[in-house]
Amino acid sequence: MYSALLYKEWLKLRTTFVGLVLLSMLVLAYIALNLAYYNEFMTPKGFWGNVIFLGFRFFVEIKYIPLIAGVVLALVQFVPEMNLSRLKLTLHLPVEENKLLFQMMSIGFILLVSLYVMITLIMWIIVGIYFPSEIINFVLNPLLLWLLGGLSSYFLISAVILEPVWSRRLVMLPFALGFINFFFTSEDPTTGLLIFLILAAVFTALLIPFSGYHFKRGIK
Amino acid sequence: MENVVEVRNLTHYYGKKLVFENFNFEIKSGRIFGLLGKNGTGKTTTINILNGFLKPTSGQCLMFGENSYKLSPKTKARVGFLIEGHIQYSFMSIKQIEKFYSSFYPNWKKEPYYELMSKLEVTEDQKISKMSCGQRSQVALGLILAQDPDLLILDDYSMGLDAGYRRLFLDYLIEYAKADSKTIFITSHIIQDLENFLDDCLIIDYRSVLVAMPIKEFRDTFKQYKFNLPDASVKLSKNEIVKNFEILKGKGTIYTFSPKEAVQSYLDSLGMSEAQIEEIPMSLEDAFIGITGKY
Repeated sequence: MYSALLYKEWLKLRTTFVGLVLLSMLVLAYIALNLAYYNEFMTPKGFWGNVIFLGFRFFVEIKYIPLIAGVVLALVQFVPEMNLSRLKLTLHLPVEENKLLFQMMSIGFILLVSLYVMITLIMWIIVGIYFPSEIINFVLNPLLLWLLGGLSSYFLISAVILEPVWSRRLVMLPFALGFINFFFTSEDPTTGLLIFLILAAVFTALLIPFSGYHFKRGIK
Repeated sequence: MENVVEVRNLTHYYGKKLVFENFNFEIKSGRIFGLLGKNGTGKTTTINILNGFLKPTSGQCLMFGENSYKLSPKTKARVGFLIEGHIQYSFMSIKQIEKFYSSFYPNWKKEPYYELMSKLEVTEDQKISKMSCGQRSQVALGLILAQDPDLLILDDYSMGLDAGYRRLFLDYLIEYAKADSKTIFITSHIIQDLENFLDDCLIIDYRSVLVAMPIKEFRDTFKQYKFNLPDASVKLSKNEIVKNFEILKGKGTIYTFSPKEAVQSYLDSLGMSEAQIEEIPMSLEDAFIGITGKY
């Protein structure tokens, strides 16, 4: 049954997913070209100095890609479900409702994590061409934060979309945006903060069945 | 005969607005049950409660003996559900949607689905979003038939369908239901289509049940009597005899379950012993309008 649900969600999301992969590749290619340019024209010494002493973020163009991916995936996956109450079709399937919602969410999660792993690996490779591992960590630490922000945005925006009551949506949305904003304004997170944010991102996933419960109860 | 659906003292409010109060009915196995009512009387609300998409304010709704709000997957597999407007996953093609649903239902029979699809001018790879409303209705029906459920809940199957597709829909449905003793719970705005289809009917009005009986009994016992009403000052009113009435251009009409003699006595009591009452035959739609009123 999970494979059938996976099949359905893949049919719905594949074009968007491919689009997000292409967008990410374009941005990563742009960063790779910029890296080559900085290395050539600033000289490696000058470029390293800028990165190490001035904290030059030559990879900042990737910052909002995880966010865009999370929000777009949530919209494409769940807006059609809410449109004309199509979610009723899904919830009428002979599977326990919360399980169905978690399974749907897990499919969005898998696609998003696949994209994020691809971004991280490519980033690791292109930065590794020019820098040692210390600088790679300098890049991957904030990237991890943005990826977590993207993941939270997927969970939170999905929960807002699935919430059937408009007034609750209007309450949830500012909280969601404030929470997501935190991931994109925190500079150089400590390990403790990162662990806290990973747990917080996981917690946001629990809001989806909560909204599903409201839908199921027919609350309007 | 086993009760497939039992609704007991069901009351529902949307906020402070009462939709219905102490609503009671049951659907016996193998029967075709029609829930009829004007717009806004609570038909879709009832169906949402039956399918567990709405928690009633009070009362109980049982489907195959289970509380409809907490249906087990096993029971849900026994219920085919057509959502108002023949809603389906429109991003899927005819073939894809059949493949998707088939994994969920152990008794899946794809033959009736593809038989119905063969009547449409579409290919298997055509997306549902590119189909006409009539074609989408056949996809939705075909999927329900392939599911082979014991109970079919059809919420306004006729919405947006022309006469041909409505007929095709009902022809398939009746053949299927009679062959396998399936139970059907159906609502529609096109009452005339259901005339020779229903076994039982429940006619509801705002907040109340007007009729709950086999359709044959309703057709046999509900009558329309017309009479001249030259005196415009005569006041008719609803009571045990008069279930509804109309006064239009010097003519009176009374809708009743009582015999002609009782109507005559009632008119006599109003000083209208001269009134010549005449029984007018009614179609199911006439009877529906007669009992619910035009407004």
